[in-house]
Amino acid sequence: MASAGSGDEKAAAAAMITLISSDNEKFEVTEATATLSQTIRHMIEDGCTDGGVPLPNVTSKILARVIEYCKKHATAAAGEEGSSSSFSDAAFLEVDRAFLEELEEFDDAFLEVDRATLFDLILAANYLDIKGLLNLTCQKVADSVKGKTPEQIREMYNIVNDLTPEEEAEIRRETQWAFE
Amino acid sequence: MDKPGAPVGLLRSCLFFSGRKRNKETVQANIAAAGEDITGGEATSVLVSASLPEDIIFDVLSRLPVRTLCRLRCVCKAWRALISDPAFAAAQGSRAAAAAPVVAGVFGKPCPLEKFYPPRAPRFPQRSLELRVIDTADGAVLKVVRDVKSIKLMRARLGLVLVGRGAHGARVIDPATGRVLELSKQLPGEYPAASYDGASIGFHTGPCHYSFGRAAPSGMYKVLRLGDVMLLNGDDIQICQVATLGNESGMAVEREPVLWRQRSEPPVLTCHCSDCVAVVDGVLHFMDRARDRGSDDPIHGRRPGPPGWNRIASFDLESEEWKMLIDGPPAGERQKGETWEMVLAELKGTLSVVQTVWSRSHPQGGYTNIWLLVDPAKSVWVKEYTIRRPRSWCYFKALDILADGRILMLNSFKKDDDVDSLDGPCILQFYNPSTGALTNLLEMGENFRGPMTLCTRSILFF
Repeated sequence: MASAGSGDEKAAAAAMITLISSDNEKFEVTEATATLSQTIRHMIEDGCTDGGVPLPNVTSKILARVIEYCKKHATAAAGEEGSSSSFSDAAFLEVDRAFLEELEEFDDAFLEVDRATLFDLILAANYLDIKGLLNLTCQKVADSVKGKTPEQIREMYNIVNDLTPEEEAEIRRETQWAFE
Repeated sequence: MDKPGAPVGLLRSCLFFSGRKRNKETVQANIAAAGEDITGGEATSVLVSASLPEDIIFDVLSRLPVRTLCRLRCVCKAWRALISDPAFAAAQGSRAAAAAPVVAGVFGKPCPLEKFYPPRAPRFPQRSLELRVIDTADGAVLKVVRDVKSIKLMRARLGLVLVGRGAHGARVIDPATGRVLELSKQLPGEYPAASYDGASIGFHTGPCHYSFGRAAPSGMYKVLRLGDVMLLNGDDIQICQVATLGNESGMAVEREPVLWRQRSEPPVLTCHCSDCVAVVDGVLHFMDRARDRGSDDPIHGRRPGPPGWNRIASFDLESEEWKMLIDGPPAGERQKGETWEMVLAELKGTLSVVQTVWSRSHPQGGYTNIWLLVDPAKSVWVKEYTIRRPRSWCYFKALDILADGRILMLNSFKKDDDVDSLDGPCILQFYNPSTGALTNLLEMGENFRGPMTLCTRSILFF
């Protein structure tokens, strides 16, 4: 789906997009994969992807991982569109379910990274505006925060406690039930 | 998307600095905002984690359960400010509603059979019943209000919770603080009975039915009290009174006694059980209290019967007037061996009737129709869902329908083929109507007595 107004020939030529990481590595991806990023989708629509898309905020290490995610999920999106017409068909539902499970497994494995990489993935997903990836990575951070004490959070994320002891004591007193 | 204005600067001051990949603007903003909190040198040398922008922090924290957030208020000033911000609270609330809402339920000594009857106010106060406010995101019990004395919890999607006690009054409870507003049982003696064609010289008073909601658009919480009265000429009427409790942040707990205003009687006698009331967008709806001939029990829409068997009366809390009667959904004929249960509810933001059909003879066990009212003026309903229930489900209550179509429901299951297994624990779970898949959210434990309501109280009040 190239921009409106472009001819067939141009659309075929534009099917592959070159992404250029901050350390100047080039990645060739299909348009379907690239357009999971709203940022790149808009660039394609504006017709300014000739000669590659420079992504000065994303390193090659992170970009490779983002592309891995997009490839997997682009196939998933295509699969969903294909099967939606036969939604009531039990066999198709079964296929869908198996596919969704596979996708979930992929996502789980994808998130097995250290914290710095996870943060970099979030920043990349935010910059490239990839909703699914942003959702996935933010949830991962949220899950790691769940059930932690304030001290653990500060340590995990290097946050300096700028509350005075009196202020902290007051918060703890007001919501004592939450600390029990 | 609206982002909070106030905490942004603060957030920058202490979140996730790193020495790399910061553009000039961010660095300057950070330093400017950080002030004396962090010295630049320390931040870059000690911290290794990547920096996250404040909208990401906002996003991440809005996914957390209430209890965790209450603790995280004392991580640092920026987090305290963010968690106290109304825009953040709204985002957290809508995320919770879509994934794992806060609920309130009545717990007490096990009484399994009770779950299968529409909750009515007990004639006498019941001991050792408590209201538990539970965050389904982590199963945390946020608040316990002891000794609520009744299981008659009103099902709604509101910040506050109402437990009716029939002739003994009612309690409006703030689930965040556990504060209770006691509504007294006394009906004013000077009820102008003479207005009834002069026929009434005196009257006997019967039980009361309490319900509540938030008037729209004013947002004021109002309680409606419907008191049964038998006039001396033998006519039954219902006295209708309204009291204003306050808005979301201020409940008139200290202003007891509340002031009751008298309004006109409902167009029909309304049913007193909590399956027969629902509040939708500031309008309270009640099922007609039709009775079978020769019976004292209301039908609750359980079987096609005399006229009005599933008629609905509606009261607008803003104008404090009764509106036109609505005819219930075209529920069909009851087949032999079937038991019906009709429950009024607010689902998908509209008045709905959940019609559950139990059948001993049906090989599949039974089915549930969820009807949504699409045109109140013409009483037009659509059957939005028909759920085929497997035999193993022995309890079914729909609490909510999410935007993605999944149904939040309470269910319990028979063990193997045990017909009489009515005491299995209730499980709060999501049902996906298109795949039939069930996802467990929370097991309620054996002390759960059945009544449950959604609770939308903002994190700001906890």
